[in-house]
Amino acid sequence: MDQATIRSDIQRVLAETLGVDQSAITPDADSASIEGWDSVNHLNIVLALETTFGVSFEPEEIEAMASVAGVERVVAAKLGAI
Amino acid sequence: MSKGEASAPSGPVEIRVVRKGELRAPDFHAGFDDPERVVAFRPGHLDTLVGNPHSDNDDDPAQILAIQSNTVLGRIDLYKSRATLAGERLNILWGSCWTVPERFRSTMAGLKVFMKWMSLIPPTGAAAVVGVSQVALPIYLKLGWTAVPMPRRILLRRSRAVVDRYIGFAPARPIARVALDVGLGASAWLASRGRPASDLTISVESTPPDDLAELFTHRAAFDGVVTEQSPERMRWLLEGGFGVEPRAERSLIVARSRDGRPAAYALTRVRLFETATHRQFKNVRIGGVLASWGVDPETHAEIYKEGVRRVLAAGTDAVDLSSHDASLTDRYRALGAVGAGELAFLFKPGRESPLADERFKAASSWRVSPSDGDNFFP
Repeated sequence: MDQATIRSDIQRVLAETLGVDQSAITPDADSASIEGWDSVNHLNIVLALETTFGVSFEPEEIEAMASVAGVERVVAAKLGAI
Repeated sequence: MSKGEASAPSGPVEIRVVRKGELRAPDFHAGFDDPERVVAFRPGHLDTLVGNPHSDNDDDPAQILAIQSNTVLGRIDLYKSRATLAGERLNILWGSCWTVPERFRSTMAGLKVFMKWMSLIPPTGAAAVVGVSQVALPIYLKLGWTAVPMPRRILLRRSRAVVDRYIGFAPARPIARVALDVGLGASAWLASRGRPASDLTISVESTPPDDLAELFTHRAAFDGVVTEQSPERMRWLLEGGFGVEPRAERSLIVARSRDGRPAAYALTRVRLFETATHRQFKNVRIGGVLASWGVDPETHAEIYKEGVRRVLAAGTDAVDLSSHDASLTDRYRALGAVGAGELAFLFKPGRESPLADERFKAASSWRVSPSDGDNFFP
């Protein structure tokens, strides 16, 4: 899976889970800048990403995913795309 | 203005494990900025945390704080305790008062605190919690905790709060109250009727008698996991508290057999909930038997019944009947007790813990009481 596809899928998952427009999921966005991205929704995101990409995240990875860039970094590493 | 700029200090979120010995200093938290009063404790709360009789070392973790630029974003309190499985002692790290104010939730402080708690799980034991809110429950489940909920029934004694909540048309209330009180009062009277078996002597104790240890030993022989009880811990339960509801009444009821030996005990609590349940009942006095044991099932049922009787006699609006042991609570269904969801008990085993076995997902493998963790403290 190439990085562009990964990024696109991540944007879709984040937008759907957080109930925001996909345009809000910019590379520099994080939990502090997107309304509703709290601990509960963070875990919803993690579960949705696990389903989408067929992976399972470790607790340290879950913690490192509190920003769009962090999510992309962790997912890409998990998929061996970086 | 973005959400972050409006609501939170900046900088990295630091997670700090506070040891029990540190909490002995009365001004330990004074050095932090605490605009949301995350660590503004009511009188007695910190004493209860430090006074935990199952924590024998000042290095034991007692609290986890999330801090950003010296501002406290959130916390969880920890109580070290013990359980017994087939004669082996297991350490249990109970969580309590997991708190992150709305304003700081986008910092992920709640998740970070939680993750740190999970990193402290005793390898051969578990982390556990009783009485988790519906808001927090999904977090536990998604992080792989096992839920072994206690079915809850509620025996309504008085209708005032129920009617005030459900019947908005004021003139109809007195009539509805009378109608409901007749029905519910009859059920409660039936529940309170009857005395304990004649060969049992019942007493209310202000402090746990030493020979109660005999019953705790008997309880520990249960074929499964049983949380450890001791006279010291029971004294702590009766005397400690979070200072939230100082009018709460707590009692220890002891039954003795003819030879004077302890045969059963029950811990009861009655407290006022100024706002209770997701239905937002207000000013409801709810009581319950939060821990009990007997030398045999019949004696256990007797002391449970005696506990319910005394809770009703204390003028409660409702009795909370939560237990893994249906033999204690089923009889109240016929007396009008209605199902009211579950009291959550969840645990997460350590990486080498025998509690990871599938059989511990079943309630029948556990003897946990509603008073475990911090759930007895008003």
